Amino acid sequence: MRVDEIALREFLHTAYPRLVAAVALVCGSRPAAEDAVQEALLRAWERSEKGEEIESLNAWVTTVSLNLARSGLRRLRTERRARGRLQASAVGETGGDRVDVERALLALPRRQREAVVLRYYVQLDTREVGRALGINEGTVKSTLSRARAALADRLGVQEPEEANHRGG
Amino acid sequence: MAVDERLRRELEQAGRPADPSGVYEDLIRRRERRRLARRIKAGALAVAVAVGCIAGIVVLSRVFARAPVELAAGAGQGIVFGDGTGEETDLFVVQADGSGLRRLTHDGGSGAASWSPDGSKIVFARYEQTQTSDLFVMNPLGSEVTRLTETPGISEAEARWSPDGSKIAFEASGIGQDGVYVMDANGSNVVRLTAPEMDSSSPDWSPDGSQLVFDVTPTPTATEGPGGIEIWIMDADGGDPHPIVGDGASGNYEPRWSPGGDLIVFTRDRDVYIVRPDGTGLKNLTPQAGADVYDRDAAWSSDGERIVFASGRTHDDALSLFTMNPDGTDVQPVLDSAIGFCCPRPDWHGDAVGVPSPEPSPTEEPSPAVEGEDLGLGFPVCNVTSIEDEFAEPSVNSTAFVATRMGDTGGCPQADDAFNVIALDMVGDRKAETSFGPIECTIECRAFSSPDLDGDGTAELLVVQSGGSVLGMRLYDFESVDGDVAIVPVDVAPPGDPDALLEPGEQASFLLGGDAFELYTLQCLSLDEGVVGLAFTLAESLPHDAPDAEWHAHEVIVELRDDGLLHVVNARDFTEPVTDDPGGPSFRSDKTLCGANLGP
Repeated sequence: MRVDEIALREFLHTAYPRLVAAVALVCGSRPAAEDAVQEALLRAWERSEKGEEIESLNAWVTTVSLNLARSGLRRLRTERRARGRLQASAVGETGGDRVDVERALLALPRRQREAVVLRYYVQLDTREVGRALGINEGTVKSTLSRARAALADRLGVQEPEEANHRGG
Repeated sequence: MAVDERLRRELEQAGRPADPSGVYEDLIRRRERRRLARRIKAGALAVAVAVGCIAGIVVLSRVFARAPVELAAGAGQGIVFGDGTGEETDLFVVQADGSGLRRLTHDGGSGAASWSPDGSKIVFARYEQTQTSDLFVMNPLGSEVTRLTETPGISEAEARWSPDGSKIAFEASGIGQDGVYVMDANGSNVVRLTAPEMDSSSPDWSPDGSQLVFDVTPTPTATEGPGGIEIWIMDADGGDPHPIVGDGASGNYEPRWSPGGDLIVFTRDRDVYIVRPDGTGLKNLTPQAGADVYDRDAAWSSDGERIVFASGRTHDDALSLFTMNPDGTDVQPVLDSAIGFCCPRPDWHGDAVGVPSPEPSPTEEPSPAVEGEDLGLGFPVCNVTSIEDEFAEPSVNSTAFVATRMGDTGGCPQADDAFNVIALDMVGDRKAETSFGPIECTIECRAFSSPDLDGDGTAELLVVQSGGSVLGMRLYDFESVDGDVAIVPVDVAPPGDPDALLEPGEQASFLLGGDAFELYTLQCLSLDEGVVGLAFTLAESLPHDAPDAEWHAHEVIVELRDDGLLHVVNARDFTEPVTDDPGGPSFRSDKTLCGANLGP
């Protein structure tokens, strides 16, 4: 598809709000998430202008913004800020579901965190989660299974036995 | 199922969708800045640019563009660091006394560099189109770049040469690949040293090459949550990994082993700490800057006599480089400017002994005496710069200030995200009688020059409102109205000249600076009947860096008239050969503009 003003504006009004929220849940920082998603959008735009084909803007931007929020130099910055924010929220808030689930999420290893957010917040199926994260569907399922177990424990929810053997 | 449902419900509550309004416009601006930054392929650090010497920039840039492969004496010494002031990060080298600043990379995605033991090479991480980083090696001039790794989907970074130069340890991150690795210095024989479940990074060698120190993020447990980050040591083959620092809460990062082998310096949360390799002797080296100030990214000089580190103590959240003794005393600035927050990660090759402690030059300090004063504005200010000239009436000096409103908690915000203001003190009591603001600034905001463009005997004010190797500045006039003086932005009269970025009805703005490929200059001219004109030239050398290159220039001559508007009186395109004349091209800027000094 061609990434032009129309495509960008449509993306901004449909996918952008929830994608920023999803990346923020993964990296723990709203500004870093906005930065990553906008950067990914800009790169898609520039690639399209150079004549490169982008099959699905949603999928491309999701993958790239998660990569940007995750990888190397940006990861360092993002996680430092997330940690500071987490400590602040732990001091300033006394509980509540939202804080619980965010804290529990940030306690997960990165790949589990990403899989959980894509599956349960962005509501991708396991095949789409795999495509976004560059891993196969079986790995997505086992990653989600481990994440669910850890989150169940953390949130004090009983995890049914069969859930450990089910895919997302 | 219960977990699935609760996750969906609570994530729905926790996720806060973003507001897309204005984002498209932000993307446009971001793209334009990116384009400009890509065109500006050389130049020194933003705020360190000596703008009064445009010819110097040209000469300097040409040296970089045509860097000889043979290294000059001393080229393999200094502090290599990443500057992330703008949206992108590139690598620079500077000496510990702040001299010899030079840019090494121009791709906007390079960082986390370190020197080879003999100083002949630098290994670094570069982000390419794959969105993940790979490792490369270059010489200390930034040329002869060689790729070491090529792993789509996996980022390699934080590479460190072994003391004998034969191997490189590094961190990798990517699905299932997190960990510390080692390879031969040519990129072959990659071996993973840490267990797959161990999220480990930032390795550094002991001086005898027998061990590695690194940081580890433990897999969190359900009861403990995110349990901090620990410092570990293992043998160089990955054996006997064991923690030396970690209290389950603090984040301990990026350890660096001292050249003597007896100490390890690292970052703990927002301070630089030191510890012995056996975990004893833990000490905070930077308590003096306060708990809210970032001190991080420490590295040793080759003789172990000094430590370089990044700190936000002078530029709010933005970092700059400093050195200190290994006991935390005698903190000295390396740079006058901020280098962003992202990724300084300095690495120092060369001895500290014999390097004199730099004293900050009073002329380069932004009037520190008035930091925190309110200048009669009703709020305290910082980042104060000023120019004294005849702004309000001929033969009577007044002082024009450009300053940033202090943050509510007392810190000094970056110009990008702050209330910046122009103020005029006409009686010399450091209290402004009139002011104008807020003005938008990017990277920096400062009083720049005070030319008398309309020839009425009083000065106008040029204010730098965007920094970089090309400065963007805007023009203001001072108008007397019924005994009061107003600060008025000067707009462009129709039809303007959009090719020179002078849009009719918009405030007049000019660019100044550039490199060997693209250059923006300002000159004062005498027009007919003693009228003063200003020549603004935008030029590009084509083909880039070719022996037969020519400057393709667009020149516009403007005049500030009695109606308070800037009128375009002439515009032309011309070419002239690019020469090695150290004076630069015919349209180079002078060091003054209508008699007023340019910069700093």
